Amino acid sequence: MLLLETEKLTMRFGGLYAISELDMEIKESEILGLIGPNGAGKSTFINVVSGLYKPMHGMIRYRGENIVGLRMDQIASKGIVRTFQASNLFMGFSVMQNILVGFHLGAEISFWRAMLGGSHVSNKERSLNDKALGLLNFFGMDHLKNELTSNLPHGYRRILGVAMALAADPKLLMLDEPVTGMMAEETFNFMKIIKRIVQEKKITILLIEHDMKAVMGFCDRIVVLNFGKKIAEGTPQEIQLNAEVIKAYLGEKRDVQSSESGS
Amino acid sequence: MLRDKRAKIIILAIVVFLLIFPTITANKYYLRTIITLSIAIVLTSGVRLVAQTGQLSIAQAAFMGVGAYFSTLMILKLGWNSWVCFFLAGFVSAGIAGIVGFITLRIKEIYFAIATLALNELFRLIWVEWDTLFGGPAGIVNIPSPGPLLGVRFGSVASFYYIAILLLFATMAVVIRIEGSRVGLIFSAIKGFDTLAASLGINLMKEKVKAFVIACFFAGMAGDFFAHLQHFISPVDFTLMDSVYYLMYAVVGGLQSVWGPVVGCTVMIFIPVALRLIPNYDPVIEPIIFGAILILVMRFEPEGLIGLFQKARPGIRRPQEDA
Amino acid sequence: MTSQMFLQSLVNSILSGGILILIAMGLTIILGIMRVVNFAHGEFYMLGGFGIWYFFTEKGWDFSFALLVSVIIVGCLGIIIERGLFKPFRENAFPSLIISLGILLVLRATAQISFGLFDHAVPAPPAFKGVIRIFGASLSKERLAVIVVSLALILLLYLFIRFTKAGLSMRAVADDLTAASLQGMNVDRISSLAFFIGSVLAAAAGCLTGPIFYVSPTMGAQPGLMAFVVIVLGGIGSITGTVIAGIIIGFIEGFGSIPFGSNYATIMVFIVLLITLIFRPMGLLGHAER
Repeated sequence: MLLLETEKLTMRFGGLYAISELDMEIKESEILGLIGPNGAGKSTFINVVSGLYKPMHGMIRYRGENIVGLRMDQIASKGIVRTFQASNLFMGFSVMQNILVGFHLGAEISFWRAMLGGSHVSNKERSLNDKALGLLNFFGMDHLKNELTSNLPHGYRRILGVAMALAADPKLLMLDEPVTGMMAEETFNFMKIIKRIVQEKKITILLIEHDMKAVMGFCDRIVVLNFGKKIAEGTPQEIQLNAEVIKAYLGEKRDVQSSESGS
Repeated sequence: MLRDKRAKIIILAIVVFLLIFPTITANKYYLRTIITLSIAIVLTSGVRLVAQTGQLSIAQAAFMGVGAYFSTLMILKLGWNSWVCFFLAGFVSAGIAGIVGFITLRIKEIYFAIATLALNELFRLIWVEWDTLFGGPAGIVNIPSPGPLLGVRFGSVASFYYIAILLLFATMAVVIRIEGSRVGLIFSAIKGFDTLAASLGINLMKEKVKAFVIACFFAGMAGDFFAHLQHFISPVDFTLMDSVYYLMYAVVGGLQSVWGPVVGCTVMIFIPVALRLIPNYDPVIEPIIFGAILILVMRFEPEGLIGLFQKARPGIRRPQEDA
Repeated sequence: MTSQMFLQSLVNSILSGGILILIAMGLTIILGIMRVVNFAHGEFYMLGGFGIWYFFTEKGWDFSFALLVSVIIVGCLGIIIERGLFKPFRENAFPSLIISLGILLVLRATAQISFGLFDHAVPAPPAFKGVIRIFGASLSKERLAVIVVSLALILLLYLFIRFTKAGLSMRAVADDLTAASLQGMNVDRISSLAFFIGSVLAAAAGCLTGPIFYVSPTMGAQPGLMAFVVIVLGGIGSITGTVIAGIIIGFIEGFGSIPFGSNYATIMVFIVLLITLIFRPMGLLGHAER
């Protein structure tokens, strides 16, 4: 079943087409990898789908509904949540506070209730706290719950970003280079957790990554972008053998070499 | 800071002291000073609350005026009860704030700040030009003291004193409650990290309007109180400069903490008092001193006086912008 | 409306618009290049007015010379303020805004102390005293001259930004500061230049309006606020938007003042602003940035 599809999606910055006439499909419960050289348009794709940018033209259909033009928070409340490469945490807050903000969509505590307090609220707040702790536990971070984000090592920062996104109860989770900067073992553990999330919570994942082991090892399907266009699509095995893809990643070097030698 | 047992005791002591103060002294000057201080803190707290969502409101004085004119007109022209108007003034002010906020809180923060400046002027011009309704530049006089409530007569300085500090306590209670609850957490999340907040489903505009409406609610009530206190209001009581001053008090005190406005107002209101004790002091240079203080604070301690205190005692601080 | 009223309103509109555009352009440049919000901009206008009063009226210098000296002094003051106070907060809207409020307080109070609280009159330069008769209406020579000069200055600024190397650098920095500095541009120098130009424009506007209206320490308040209204209406970041918004507001003031009074005209301007923001929150020609 198709969870998300885009049709001729186009986004331009000034004179540059970041993504151009992009047709994408994301199937329910799959882990879809999105790869390509730097500047290929991967982050732009997530930025457009999540509502940060409004596309020049094209359609984005989520469960059959066109979501182009909706605000970021509206798109998030429909179940599409993304992580960020940079600035992915609320700095100056504790880990617990970060997760609690992440639970905003599921909080169901109205303004007046929150202000006036009462047993109803304390019960809600307690259950929220429990949920938050449970989520931190899932990621092995509950011992850090009172730690300030500025004191967290890099690996935990990225995990916290994903945990927050999960707190928002997504159906489609878009991860923007989540394991960048992680060591091989951290990456492996992280990807295993992602796999667990897909299986246990029935979440669909779109993964942007440069780490090929993570991508090839864990994704069901892969889409390859270059210069804002889709140049290949298929299973990891198919992609690894695809000539276009190889050229996209290595082609620039060869081209430079040939122009230097004048051929 | 409220978690600190010591802090709680200090605050309780201050509250009790303020409550019994008029029984200690009948000195009208002292009572009036605390009344002025209370009003300033109420308004400055509003500025701070809005700032907690990353916006700058330079129109608190205008909304104070909305409450003042509303109450005055209802009482003088329609004979409404002063106490009813006290609360209605808050709602009217809040309502207008909601409409304005809906229009202006949608895009960049700087637009909102400029719009609040323009709003100050717009309201002032309306009060000046529509003189049949608002009395024009001469304003409205003969505003009576509020009628008796629960058998208590109002009209003396002491009676106004109690209304003022109760309004102050109510405002502080609300602001403190917000700070310690989810509401405040979401506000602070928006302040420096709005994109991240939105990606988690937080409706930025709704939260910003919430803060603005609450701030203007209390500003409106303060305006009603002011009208009864002075028995006379005119457009010059609610100018742009007043709004700038409330912003200044908030910044100097420290925007991060609910106590910032308290500290800021107290310091900034007592500085002129202290300066006047110097012989040959000409109040004309006051704005220069204030301007200099504002510049120095932003330059060397952007978190204000509370920031200075906090540097002395570490601990979990309120969320700040990413440096 | 009689021909006199119409032509008078027309002249006033172009005059208002021209002066507003001069002040607002300076603001757009400073805001666009340094991302600094300078609420004290109107005070440079006021200082320009006092410059003319001091050098032209009090000291009796030639008008053009007095204008030149005044704007250069204010421009240099601008550079000092920029280097000393705004530099650490470039790209940072909130602190610069607060600091500019402090500067506003200091400048205005200083003017009040130096020049007293009252209005000062600046008589027109002899060459421009009197009126011209056009189409049966008497129009003040002074106002026409100010229109010509302000339009000339606006044109000069446009040419500078479009065609000179410095202007190009300024646009580059406005576009992307990091890229510009990586390209080797001296961002410090460009920022100071931007602030100099902005202050000079505001001061020039003050010098030009000095003879027409009174000069007083609070004369910067209204134009200062209006300049911000202009750039919000036009769309922050758009120079064309500034010009168009300036013209619109100038005409509202010009044609609104005579029949209804200047307060009403100003109210109308604010209402136009609010209505525009309802339908185009980014201003007329602004970019819908997230």
